[in-house]
Amino acid sequence: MSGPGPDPVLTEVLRNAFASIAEQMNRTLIRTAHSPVIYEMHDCSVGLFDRSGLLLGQSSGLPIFLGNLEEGIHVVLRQSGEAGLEPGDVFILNDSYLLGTHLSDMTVVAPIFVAGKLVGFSVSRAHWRDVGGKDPGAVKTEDIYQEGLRLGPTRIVRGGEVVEEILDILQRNSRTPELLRGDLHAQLSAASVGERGLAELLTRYPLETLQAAAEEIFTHSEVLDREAVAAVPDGRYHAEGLLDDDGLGSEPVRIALAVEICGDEMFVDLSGSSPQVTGNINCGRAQTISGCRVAFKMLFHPDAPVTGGSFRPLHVSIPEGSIFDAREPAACQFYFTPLGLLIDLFIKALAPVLPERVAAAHFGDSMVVDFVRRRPTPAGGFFLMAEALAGGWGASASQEGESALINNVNGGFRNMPVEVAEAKFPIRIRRFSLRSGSGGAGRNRGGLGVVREYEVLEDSVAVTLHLDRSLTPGWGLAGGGDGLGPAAAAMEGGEWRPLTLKTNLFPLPRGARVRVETGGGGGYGEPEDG
Amino acid sequence: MKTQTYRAGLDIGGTFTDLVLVEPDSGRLHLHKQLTTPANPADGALLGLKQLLATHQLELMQVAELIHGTTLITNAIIEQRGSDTALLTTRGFRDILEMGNEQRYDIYDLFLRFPTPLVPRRHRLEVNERMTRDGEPRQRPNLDEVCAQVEQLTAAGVEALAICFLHAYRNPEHERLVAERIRAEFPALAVSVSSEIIPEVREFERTATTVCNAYVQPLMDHYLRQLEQGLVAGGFRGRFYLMQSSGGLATPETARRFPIRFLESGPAGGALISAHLGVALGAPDLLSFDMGGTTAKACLIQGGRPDTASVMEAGRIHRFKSGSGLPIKAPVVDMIEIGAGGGSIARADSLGLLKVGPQSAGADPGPACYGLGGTEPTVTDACLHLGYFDPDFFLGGRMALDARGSAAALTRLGENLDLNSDEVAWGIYRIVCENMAQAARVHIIEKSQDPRRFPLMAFGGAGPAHAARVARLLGAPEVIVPQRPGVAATLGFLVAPASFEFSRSIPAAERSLDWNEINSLFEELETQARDILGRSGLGEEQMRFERLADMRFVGQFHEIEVAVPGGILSAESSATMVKAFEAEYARLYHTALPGYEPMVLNWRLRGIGPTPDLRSAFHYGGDEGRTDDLARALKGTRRAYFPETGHLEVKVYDRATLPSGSALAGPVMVEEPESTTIANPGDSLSVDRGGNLRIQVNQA
Repeated sequence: MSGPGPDPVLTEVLRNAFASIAEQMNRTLIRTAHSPVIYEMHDCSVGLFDRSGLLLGQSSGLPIFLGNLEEGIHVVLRQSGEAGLEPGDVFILNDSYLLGTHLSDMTVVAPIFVAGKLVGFSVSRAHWRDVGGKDPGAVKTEDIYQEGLRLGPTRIVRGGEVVEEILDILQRNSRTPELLRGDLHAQLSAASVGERGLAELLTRYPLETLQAAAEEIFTHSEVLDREAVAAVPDGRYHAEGLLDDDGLGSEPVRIALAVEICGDEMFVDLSGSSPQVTGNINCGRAQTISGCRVAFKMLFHPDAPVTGGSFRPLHVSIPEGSIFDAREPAACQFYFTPLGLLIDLFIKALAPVLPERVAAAHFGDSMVVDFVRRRPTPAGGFFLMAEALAGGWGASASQEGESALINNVNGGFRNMPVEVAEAKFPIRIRRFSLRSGSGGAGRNRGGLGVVREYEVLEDSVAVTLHLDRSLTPGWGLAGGGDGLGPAAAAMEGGEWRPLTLKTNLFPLPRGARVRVETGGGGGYGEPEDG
Repeated sequence: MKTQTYRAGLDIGGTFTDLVLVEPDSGRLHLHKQLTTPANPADGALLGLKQLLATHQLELMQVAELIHGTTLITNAIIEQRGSDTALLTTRGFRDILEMGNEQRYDIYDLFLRFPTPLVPRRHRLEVNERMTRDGEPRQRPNLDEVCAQVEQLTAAGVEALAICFLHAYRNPEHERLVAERIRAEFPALAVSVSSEIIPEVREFERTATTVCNAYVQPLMDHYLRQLEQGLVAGGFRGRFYLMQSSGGLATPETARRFPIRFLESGPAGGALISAHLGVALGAPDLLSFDMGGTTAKACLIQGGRPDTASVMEAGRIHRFKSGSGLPIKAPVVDMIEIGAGGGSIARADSLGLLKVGPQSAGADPGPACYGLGGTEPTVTDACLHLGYFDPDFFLGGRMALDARGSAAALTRLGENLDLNSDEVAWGIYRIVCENMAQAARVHIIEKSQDPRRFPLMAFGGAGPAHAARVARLLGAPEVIVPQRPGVAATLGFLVAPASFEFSRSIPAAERSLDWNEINSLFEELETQARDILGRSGLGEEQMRFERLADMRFVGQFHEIEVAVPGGILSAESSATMVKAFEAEYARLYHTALPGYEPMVLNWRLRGIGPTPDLRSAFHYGGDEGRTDDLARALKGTRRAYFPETGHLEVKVYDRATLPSGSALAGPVMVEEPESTTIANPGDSLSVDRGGNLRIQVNQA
């Protein structure tokens, strides 16, 4: 019935089909993974891409992963060229400078061939428990070599068979070789689900139809983004804040951005931000762009799907060698800490011109808490219990801030249930509650942070903390007050003593307790207003 | 003297109350549909039941069995109309209920909202007690202290209490002690205990489920009392059962204890009738396809049975966003639901694409063609415009549709999309069918089956008008439209067996299982099931028991259900289980994991009563009033659009007079008061001896 040219009906049909394939991939990954950080906390993301690496469909997942999954495809194509890809190939890679993530985030790129022809890619990224490094969880690292095994694009599957020699290298360099193998298989299962999904779709529609629909979707996304940017008054908008330190006790680290709107283009300039630091909060360029995209998406049409045509008006300028453009040998383990603040600042910068679309700042960091047994004891071998704690979100003109939600970079993350944590690790959780009074005051109050108190049930356990945002807590908007920043303390022999917020493998005797409190969100409006 | 021989089904929905009466010998069905009386739903239902009986010169005392399902409890959760409820938790954990799993169900939304906790913080009290992860008591609760706390709560007007302590799934002793004491001292308080409701690991889901149960317990009790009193006063002396979300029947006593097991009774009824008819027609493997006004549901039936899932979500802030509601752990028929129904609204979305649903116009204002003020086109408007519905025969002619209203709404939307009204109408119909086919395909593929293998059993008001197109998209061979597709769910109530499930978490690796412990656990669970089935009036010889284990590989956390062999279990039985588990794992995930160690998380036992006799419960013969004359059943023709043919005049038949054995070539339409069946060009439609419409779908 439709003539030649774009068909909004067929295009919608195919868009749903792409999203549905991505959703199936994600579910497979979560259901077959072996690390709690994946199956319980959902520290993973997947996407389905066309043959040039443009996004067709994604499922819910980690926002900062989703913002730039395609970079993995580009890296693979740069190395092998399209001609170098064979049916049955699957690549893994984790290089922080190529992909921007820390080394434990493993990206799996699988070219999809149908009838011998490259038709697309499935990509997944998941947090592996351990890929080596000087300490479990890689804290207080000063260069990338201390953080684990670093991989460029590596064929882990060739001709449909896992290359056992490479898997062997990976396993020999991990403290948790069995988890590593299980999680790799989970990602490979997800890749094959993506491959079958796209192949099945191609039995119903020719590739040209799929490509035409994809182009149509991309064009619409681009138009939508451009219209949204054009509606913002032209001008240059600024915001800045301080991270507490680089993790090694440095001076505060400055994060600054300027957002310039010029017609339907947006230029983000990070040149006011700190140079690369000695500690491990450096972020690779690819993830910096991803962080800016997350903020962009939160402000403009958050309900529209992200596609290969999204973000085209967004240009990010990152000074070379800055904290947002990590260069060898910069340490990158906590690359997400500056991103959390960057996203909040992005929103703050535009708050004066987008008052209806912004909220006050959130508690702001991933609030990483690790309990570790490093060496085998009579009680058992190595373990690492890693958590990212939630906190309070900012209030807005229309509503109070939500309490106890995961931070902006982690999105689809879920907490580890107390009963699951206790069943798996020699830890007792004594308290897990909202942190009273931690939300910023305001006409609408900021959300509350949480309190989690742990007791160690055996000797030889140590705790590692990476908590930021005490200097720049969740700030208020329009006269609202700031939320509280994070706090931590340890109790030995009946007395609570404060712990530094960046604590590296602090040894704990049996019976010792650790209490971590996360920050609240900023309030909105003068409290007196009502 | 009149004998108790009739069976009746009663389904009270938010808008309509449906009643079905089955004659004992002929199996003939009598139906009744009326508006629900929200202020006191039992009154309306009783009145309707008496009217239905009176029409056929019958009395309540002649009804041997009444089976009931309702959405009232679900609606009470959605609308937060339950009782003032309190919660007792382990010291340090009263906020678990509010914190949930801390997930952002929409990762880009700065304005997320979550359901208000069913228990406000001031009514969440902490008890000084602790159980270790292995179920060893570490600190015993002080019962006097607890009583003093509860005293204050009742003084503040609390009517219901949930108790959920950490690790109670491993050892329920502390919960039990506290509950016994409170039940003794506060007999008026409704008490729900997590280790009785759902003794499984993960404190948030267990707490949320237990709280939800407590929250609706007084409501369920009150509602059932009114219904029972009314029934007794009317002379009812038969058995009275309720439909569970899992598809099994239960007594009112069970419904009072576990009201959250009854949230999805209607959808369960739909799946059961599909399974039942499928078996009767020699098609035990099929896809149950139920499309109503707001949603469509698809449920894979294999071997004459639907699967059950162990968790659902109630009271979502955004109906189709997973994570925006309250998790309820209770057995529920495993189906997918999508926002595609007759009332689903079509819009141009922000990308300029045509989007259908999930928002629904509901009954008020309803589709544009209702003429009640709706201005946005819906799926019903599209069907009307395409010629699939007769504007003068909607709901059997009880409601005239405004075709011009539909056309105007479609034209308006088309202006934003550069499409004319015909193109928009076909676009809406196509997208809604594609969406349903896509969702059904995922549902089937996730069970590792081939979607092209399963006939569709189509019902619900809108199901028969869409099923043949959905089947074509799925590659499915056939569509079956049963008699009375508008009340199929209520019919399903009449083919359900009594069924109860009990479970316990004992996580352990397969090679270190303590078989003595497992054997005595199953003995205990079976005693519970035997007891509750006995109280439903069943004899020992009528009961059967199924034993299941939730297994996974050590290190994983998502389980697969595996059958547990009968008899006394030992290390030998575990070999059978492991084999079944590994086969199922490979089937689901296309990956074998040799070298990984299997473990068991939960043990489950289902006690099941007899399934009502398949052949005699229903009347499959042709109705009276039928004639062998096909021409008499022809109502006329209607201009309709199909992409294969363009616009053409299509024959329309009256289902009530369409004789068995009729064979018609598509495109063709068959009308009955509750729905219209569409067969597409190339399809062929026939009527089988049971009066079911059978569409052979053309896959060329």
